[in-house]
Amino acid sequence: MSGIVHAQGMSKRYGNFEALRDISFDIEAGSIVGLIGPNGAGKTTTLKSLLGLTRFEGELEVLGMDPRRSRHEIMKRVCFIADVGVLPRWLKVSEAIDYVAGVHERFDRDKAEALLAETKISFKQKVKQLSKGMVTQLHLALVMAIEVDLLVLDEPTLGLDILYRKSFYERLVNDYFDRNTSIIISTHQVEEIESLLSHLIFIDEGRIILSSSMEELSHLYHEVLVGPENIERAMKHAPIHSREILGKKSMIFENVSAEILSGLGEVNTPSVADLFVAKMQKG
Amino acid sequence: MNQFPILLKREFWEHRNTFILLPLVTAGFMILMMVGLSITADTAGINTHFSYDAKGSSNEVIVEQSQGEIFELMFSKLSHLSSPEREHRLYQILHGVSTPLLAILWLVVFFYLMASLYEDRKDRSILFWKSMPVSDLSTVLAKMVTALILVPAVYLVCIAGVQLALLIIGSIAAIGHDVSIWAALWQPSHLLGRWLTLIAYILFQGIWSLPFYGWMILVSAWAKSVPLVWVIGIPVAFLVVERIVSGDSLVSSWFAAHATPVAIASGQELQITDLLLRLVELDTLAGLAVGIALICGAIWLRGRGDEI
Repeated sequence: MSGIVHAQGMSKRYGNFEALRDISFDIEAGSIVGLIGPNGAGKTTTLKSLLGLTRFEGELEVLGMDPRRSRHEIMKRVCFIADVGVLPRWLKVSEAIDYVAGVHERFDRDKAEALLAETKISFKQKVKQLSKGMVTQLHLALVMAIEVDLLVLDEPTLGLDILYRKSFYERLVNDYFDRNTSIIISTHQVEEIESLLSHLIFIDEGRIILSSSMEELSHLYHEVLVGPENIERAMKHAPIHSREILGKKSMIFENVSAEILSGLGEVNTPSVADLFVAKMQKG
Repeated sequence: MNQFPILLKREFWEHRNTFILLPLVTAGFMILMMVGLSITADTAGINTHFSYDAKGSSNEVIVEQSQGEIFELMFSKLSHLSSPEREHRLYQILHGVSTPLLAILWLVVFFYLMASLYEDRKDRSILFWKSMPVSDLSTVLAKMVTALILVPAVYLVCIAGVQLALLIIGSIAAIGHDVSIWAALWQPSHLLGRWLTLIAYILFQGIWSLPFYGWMILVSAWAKSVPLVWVIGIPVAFLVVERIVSGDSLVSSWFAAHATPVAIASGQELQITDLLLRLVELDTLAGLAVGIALICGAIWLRGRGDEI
């Protein structure tokens, strides 16, 4: 099994608004994909399409199945955490565990209970009595106790304070490090997840503007801090982005070899955030 | 794995108050009222007796007699009736005490079904429910089974409790009378038979009103706001259109008949055999077919359904 997701020409309209315009991408087993884009770019629509939670046009296979027809089959092997607050407010923590244990074959109750024991969440509490951060902790504990092939996280830390955000991703990394689970994370806060990713997809206005592995990225994109004396030479290589830093210019180049660029200044791999800004402005 | 038990439990977790607490409290309240009546009626009798001594007013004596102890009164009246009359009167009494709970049940099921596929779309928890490997078919069926079998079962147990309490209080009041309590009260009540009939009635009601229940769950799967408006509004609008187009209201009347609880007319006793006969009537079967079609529509809509 190599391909987890295969999307070909997916489109989605809400009335006059085109949420997705003919997007195509593939996700390989074991990869950790960052789906990055501004609000309203189509991230949530893409993820919900993968899960059979919304309708769309075009071709899509998740684990070899069409989510429009086989949502509940796919959900046996895929878990989903939406942005905070989709656990029903009336549900008790103990009931949430009982429910997942009752419907999910791959759920490990002991593990979920052990994960919850590390938090301040009590089994008798209702979801509405928990803080936003605790609800996310609860959802994550439920999901991490399920052995799945694909984990889909849609802005999982939206609205959480910094402590919860950090521990969320730490837990995630530690727990999934030695599993063969693929993960797709959507966010507009790139910095948080940059170090986790093996693959990157930029999306804007319903279009994919970049889809690449992190390794390819480091070959394809370079950032050079160019001194004033070299600026003219540098401009010949058509940087896709440049910004002023302390009298020098930080430029990002696409598809220009590092050897050529090394004559202009120190060559680095751009941060995902900088690259994102560069691609957005160019697009 | 069999997911169905936990899907049913889930419904009871969400609606613990209206599915369990409300019928228990109602039944408890009715039993307390009956106990209260049997006690206070006694004391009232004593009080009047005292005031009769003090004032010498003859009006008060009548008050004493008419208040008496109502369960004792009921018993002595019953014991003087002929056997068929006694059975009929007891049927009316037992049916009478079941009416409040049956009415509440109808309302609870109505509001439950109407919200069943709507509330989780509104509060977005549908994204959690649908992220579990549960088919839309199971989801909708669990809600229908809850509404048409499980919740009525809870209410029936409570009704049985109230009826039992009534007969027990009646029996206590009858102590000291010469007539056999069994022959005057328990035997003509046919309690077990009545309960079986009630079960049959509830099941028949579920089938008879399936077009109505199916309609409600369909609206709850589809409505983007206030499902109550659509549940009532569309049939009313349909009635108006039907009147204008065809001049009569055959379809609307048919639907209205199926939306109305099968009357348990207190004058006419409900019999299992009547229900069985009605079950195989074309009208009932047509309702069954329409109901199933509407439920299939709800399952289909649930599959496409998004949060609102």
